[in-house]
Order: sequence, then C-alpha cells, then structure tokens
Amino acid sequence: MQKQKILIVDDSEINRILLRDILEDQYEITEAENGAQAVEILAQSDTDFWFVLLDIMMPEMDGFDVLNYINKHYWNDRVVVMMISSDDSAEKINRAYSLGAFDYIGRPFDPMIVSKRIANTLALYARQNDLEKAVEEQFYEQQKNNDLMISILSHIVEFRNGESGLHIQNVKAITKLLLIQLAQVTDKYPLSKEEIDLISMASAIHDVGKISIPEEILNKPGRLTAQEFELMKTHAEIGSKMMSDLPIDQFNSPLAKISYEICRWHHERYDGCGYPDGLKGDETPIAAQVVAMADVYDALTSDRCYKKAFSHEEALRMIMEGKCGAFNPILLQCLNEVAARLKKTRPNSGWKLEAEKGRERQIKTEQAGMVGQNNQEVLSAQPEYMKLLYIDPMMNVYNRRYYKEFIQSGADVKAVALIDMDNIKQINDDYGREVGDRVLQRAAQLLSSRIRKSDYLIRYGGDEFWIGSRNITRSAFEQRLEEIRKSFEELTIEGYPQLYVTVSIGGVYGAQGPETSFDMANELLSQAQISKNKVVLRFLNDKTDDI
Amino acid sequence: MNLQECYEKFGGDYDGVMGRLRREQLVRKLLYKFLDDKNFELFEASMQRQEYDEALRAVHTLKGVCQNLSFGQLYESSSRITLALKEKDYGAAAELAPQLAADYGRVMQAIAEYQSSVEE
Repeated sequence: MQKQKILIVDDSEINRILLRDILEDQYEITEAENGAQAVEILAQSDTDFWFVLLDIMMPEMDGFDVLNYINKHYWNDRVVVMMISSDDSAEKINRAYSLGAFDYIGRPFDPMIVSKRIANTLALYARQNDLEKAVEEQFYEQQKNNDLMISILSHIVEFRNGESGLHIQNVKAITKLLLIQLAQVTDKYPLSKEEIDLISMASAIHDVGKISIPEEILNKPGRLTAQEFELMKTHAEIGSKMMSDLPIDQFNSPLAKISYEICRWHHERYDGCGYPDGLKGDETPIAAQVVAMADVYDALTSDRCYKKAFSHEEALRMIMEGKCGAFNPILLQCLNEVAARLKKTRPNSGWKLEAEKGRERQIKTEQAGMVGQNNQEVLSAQPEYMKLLYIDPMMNVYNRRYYKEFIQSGADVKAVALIDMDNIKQINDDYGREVGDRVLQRAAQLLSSRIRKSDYLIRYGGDEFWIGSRNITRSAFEQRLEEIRKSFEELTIEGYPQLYVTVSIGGVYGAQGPETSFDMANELLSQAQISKNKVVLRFLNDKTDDI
Repeated sequence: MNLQECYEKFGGDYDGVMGRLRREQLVRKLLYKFLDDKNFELFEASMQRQEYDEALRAVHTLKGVCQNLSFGQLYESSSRITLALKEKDYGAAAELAPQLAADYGRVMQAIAEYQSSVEE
C-alpha cells in the first residue's frame, strides 16, 4: 500500500528534522519552509490526499493564509490540517480551528503523541470516507434504477405518441425549476427537497393514461372532433386509475400518491374549467398544478403533429394571458421569474424567433399538418395521403414537391448544401438499376443519420439531395459536409464489395434563404464535380455568421 | 563531556528532552543543526534595523526550537522577548535582548564543546 503523504510546513529546519524523524518510517514526508511553498505543493495535484502539519508564524505566507487558501480552493476534502504552532494563545488556536484546521498539537513535540494523533486522525478520515462512498454509491445506484424504470414507462407512452422523446425530459426539468422557485417564493406549499425530487420524478408519467387512447387520435394532425376530444380526455382518469389499482401498500407510498395526483389532475385549471373533475384553485394538489404548467409550456414550445412550435416569448405570453386556461397566480409569478433560465433549456430557441416572422408559411405548414422534421419516425406518423404527396416512396425522405411548397419560399435556413453522387450512372450501367436504387436508398439513410432533427433533407432529383440547416455554426457545417463526403467513401452495399461510391458537395453558408442560395450551391457543386469526391464551400457575411 | 553535562552547562532540561525524544543520537543531530540556525542573528540584525515584525518572527521561531529541545533558560528568555514584541513593547524587548544573547552564547558554547569532545 502506498504511504500516506504528510507535508511538514515550518520555517525552522530543526523542527522539520524532528518531525521527519518521528514520522518518516510510516509516512511519505515532504517539507515546506513557508506557506507559499506549501500551497504550491498542494496545488500540484488536485486529487492527492494530504495531511499537513502547519506552523502559524512563517515568512512569505503564514499558516492562516494557508488555511484561507485551502478554503478558497475547496481543498478541504483532500487536505487535513493539524496546527503545530508554538504560539498556544487561545485566540490563535481558535482562529485556526474556525478556518478549518482539524486539530492542534502543542509544543514541545512528543513523538509518541504526535504520531498517535496523526494515525488516529487519518483512521477517522479513512473510515468516514469509506462510509460516505458506500452510502453515495448505494443511493446513486437506487436512483439510477428508479429513473430508468420511470423512463421506460414513460417512453412506452411516448413511443405510441408521435411526440418528441424530449417531452418527458422537458416536463421533468421545467417542473423541478418551477418547484424550486415556488419553495423560495412562498411557504404556502411545504416543499422539501425530497418532495421536489419526488414530484419531478413522478411528473414523467403524467400522460401514462394515454396508453389506452387509440393511435389515430393521439397522432391526428389537426383538430380533434368533439367526440375524439372526449376520448382523449379520459387519459387523465385512466392514468390515475393505474395508480389507484396498485396494491394498497404500494399505493400508499408517497411516489404513487403524487403520481396519482399528477396523472389525474394535470389538466385541471385554477378557475375550475379543466378536466376531469373541474377542481378549483388549490383543490388541485400543487404537484398537479405545477406539472400542468410545465406540460403546457413544453407543448407550446415544441413541434407537435398538429402545430408548429411557438417561441419561448410567445408561449410565455399565451400562458400569462390565460390562452391555455387559468393558472395559480403564484405559479404564474414563478414562471415569470424562471423565464430566463427556462429559455436557456429550450433547444433551438434561436431560430424560433425567426420562425415567428414567417406566419404565413407557418399557417400553411400547420394546415398541411407537416412539420419540418426529417426523422423517420415523424415521417411514418404522417397520414397516408400526405406521405403520397410529399415523401419519396423509395427513400422515405421529403421530395422536391415538399421543397417547392414549404421550403423554397422562405424556410429559415442558414446553411444549404447540394449533394450529388458521382458515379450512379456508372453503377446503374455496371450492376443494373436495382443495385443503383439500393445505393440511393443507402445514401438517403446515411444522409438522414448525418443531420439533426431540425435540419431538412430533400431528395431533389434522381441522385441529388438538398440539405438545409437552420442554426449551425460555420465550422460545424464545414465539418459535417466533410464527414458526409468521407462516410460515402466507406459506404458498402451488401453483396457488392467492390462497389465504390463517392459524392460531390456544394455548400453555401450564411445565405438569406433557400431561393437565393440554391443556384449558388448548384454552381459550387459543379465545381466540386470537376475533380469529384470533393466539398466546395462558400461563406457569406463572414463577420456576423458564426453563432 | 556527555550530552547530559552539556545540557546542565547551559541550563537545559536533559531529562525532559530525553523523555520525549528518547534517542541521544536524534538529540545530538538536532543540537548540531542548532549551531547552523540563523534565527538569533536574524533577530539581532532586525532589532538593530528596528524591523520588529521580522525580529518577532525570528525570536518566535527560536523559541519554538528551544521548546522542542528543552533548552530551559534560552526558552525562557526567548519567550519573554516574543511576548514583549507581540505587545509592541519594543523598549522592553531591547532591555531583554542582552539576557537572550547571554543565554544563547552559553548554549552555543556548550554545544560546541560537546561536539569537540564527542569528536575526540
């Protein structure tokens, strides 16, 4: 076993020699003749555990300065200090203790006592450390399993529901943020840290009752009929029943109780106009009130199958104005107070402001029930006739018609690229059209996997793809295109190991919109195609574009 | 001259130091080191320059060493000056200085004699 490190800090060499003589058999000794040297040694590694014997009166930096320095740098966990000053005035000793010194050894040094005191202190620390670690690990493990189970449960619901997988994470985070604020603002609702954790955890299953709602209704783009809405509303009661049907001893646990409240009443409103029970004011438990607000905020600021995302500001205004039903005034106050922090947690909060400007386009998109998302799950969640119109059947990505109708006229894209396969004609000729089609399908898959949810991917023509990104830095854009080019080099088609695919890419960064940038990208693509397997890029508005 | 005689010569507590440090060899090593210790000189020079903070630190360190080595009289005189300087009573410190010098001289001389007798 490695020897414990001891640092002797004393300006008298004689004292250091004496202490070294006492301790060097058992410990690894380092010496410092003043405080500055001591701090330097302690700073060299931020993980080593040090036991420090510290004199007070020293040149350069005295013992109190060293203690202050240790506090300031939060080294207390790994640095244990025992004072060894010959100044035994109560005032000095007290000051040392209050600055975090663990103990004090008076002079003259008695080797037996010094080494016993050090050994005892170290044993105490080791024991405490082990215990802390064990408890922490146990707690962490349990917490992880709890979170995992709840995550599995809630994902079952989300899986059927075309919503973004982030909704649950978001509601959880917003709920916690609101609760912490609420606890600070008022003591009307007694909220301990444990309760806040419990409510945030339970918030994840607020929609668990949706498991019983038919998929056609869950994922219907556009308005539900009155009858459908009634059916949808039952999810609150069904969810709560799932909790109350638990064996009684389980239902009696705080987590199940809170889950019950949240499932049943997260659609109640403060004025009694919510469902299922029309509870008024604080008849609705605070847990459900907070989750209701978190749910509404996240729904507003996210893309849904029936609507596009509102900006953070817009969502806040709608909630304040009661557009989504009445909320507890204290909660509205809390929402306002955490607004800045809330905004930071929103993904893509940058471009959503931009999106507001294009009202017309947005309405059109809403009517069509399409959202600017390319990921495959979203695509397959669209109704059949929409798929026929706007989705390429072979590749399952958006087609040129979608581009013409929804993107060309002014989607907020900052960076666009045209990607063309260099040798698809050759592949068709050499291996037949069927293989060529498979290459194209693989190409579409590869491109889908290489872009983000907020990006657009269009099959523009035969073997030509268009990519548009809303918010991306120029370096990320450049890097992404280069990665795409490289990943095509590595693309393999099963059964045709010798088949080799490359692409040429023309990219424009900082364009005003798709229309102006398309021709430019096309021209750059032509340049790239001269040498093939190449990316040619142009950056516009150099000064302002790097976000 | 043996170690006990040396301690007796400068008014130190031989039983006290041996009771704690136990080994003559260690005490001898520390005594020899004391011959090289510069704190007394630093104290005197600082007093002359009226740099009392520096003087205090030097005599305070000297005191600590004397305590560990059970130097008895030298410990007493260095303690008194330390106290006087802490209370910023510089006149008293100056008055006590000759006593310190005398005690220090006795210790140094005794150790030197002891050293030469051991080496013979």
